[in-house]
Amino acid sequence: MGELTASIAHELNQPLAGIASNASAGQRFIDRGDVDLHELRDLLGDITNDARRAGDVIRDVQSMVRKGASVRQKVNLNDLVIKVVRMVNPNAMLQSCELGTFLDPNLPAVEADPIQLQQVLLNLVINAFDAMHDTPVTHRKVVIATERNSNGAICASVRDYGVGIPAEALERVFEQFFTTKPKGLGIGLAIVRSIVQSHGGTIVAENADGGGARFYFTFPASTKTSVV
Amino acid sequence: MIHPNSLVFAIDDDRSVRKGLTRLLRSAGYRSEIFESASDFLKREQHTGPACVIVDVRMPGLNGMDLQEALIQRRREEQLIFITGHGDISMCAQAMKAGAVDFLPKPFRDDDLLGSVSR
Repeated sequence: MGELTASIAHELNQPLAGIASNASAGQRFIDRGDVDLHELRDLLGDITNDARRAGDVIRDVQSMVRKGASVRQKVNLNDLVIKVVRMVNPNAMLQSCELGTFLDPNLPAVEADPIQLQQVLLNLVINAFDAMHDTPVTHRKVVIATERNSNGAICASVRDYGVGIPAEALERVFEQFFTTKPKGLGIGLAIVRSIVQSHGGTIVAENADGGGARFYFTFPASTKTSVV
Repeated sequence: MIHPNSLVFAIDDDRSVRKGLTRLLRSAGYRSEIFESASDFLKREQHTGPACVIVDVRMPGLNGMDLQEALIQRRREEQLIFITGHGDISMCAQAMKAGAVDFLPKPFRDDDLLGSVSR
């Protein structure tokens, strides 16, 4: 997660640079006997805002990155999907968004950290909701699907019916700092990808037929598990 | 002493950093012009007096390194001071080799930045 650390450092250092520059400027204005109280007030307001912004970054990171080592165990992805659906149901109702699942009943287990996988799903589903702010209420829908592909790998996808991803952004959505949200940090999908990759998996973003975006990730099946 | 016709340019895509830099430069007695992107800066007519440019390394569109290259190609002599949200040693080495005055990690000390500007 080295890239991620750099991303977080960057997001924190921006407001810190603002705070430090404003505070130094304030001291210099005072030292010069050149204090415009109105300006000083604005300056302190900017410092406060930057401090809050730094706090928001830390909270976002805390909510996405679990402390401690990754604990691998056999995980049934379907169970996780059901759990995540339960967790986000209030958000879905609040945003009048339909939430559907297509779960392969014969899905073998994956060797994974269940909490990290849950973070992946949660991130993708919350992003899907966010992508549908401007979608008419009657069209808002998120579908989570699981399946086993022809290579035996375990696949899951999260699809929305929102604005989709601009072609030029498709390649970049997983990059740190990259965001299409007005207040986004560009951290969520970077974490998602780093978790998927740390499990030996891959993730892609695509625009789905019929509109909206689809995030599709694949994990190798857990060792030589018995086929159900 | 600050040369009467000197001008400091600062380019950063982050609004907080831009506002902080504007105030810091003004508090130290410098005239400054602030830009949101390197391409906006390049659209401006070249300043005739002494000039230095404080530029963020990582920006959407033209980044700080791109700007350095563009200025070298145009044989312009503005002195560059790089600021960066997270240290990148290879970039720093490259920037300094190409003639940058300094390469400062954010949050920078005011004396460090103003010291570089006065050079």
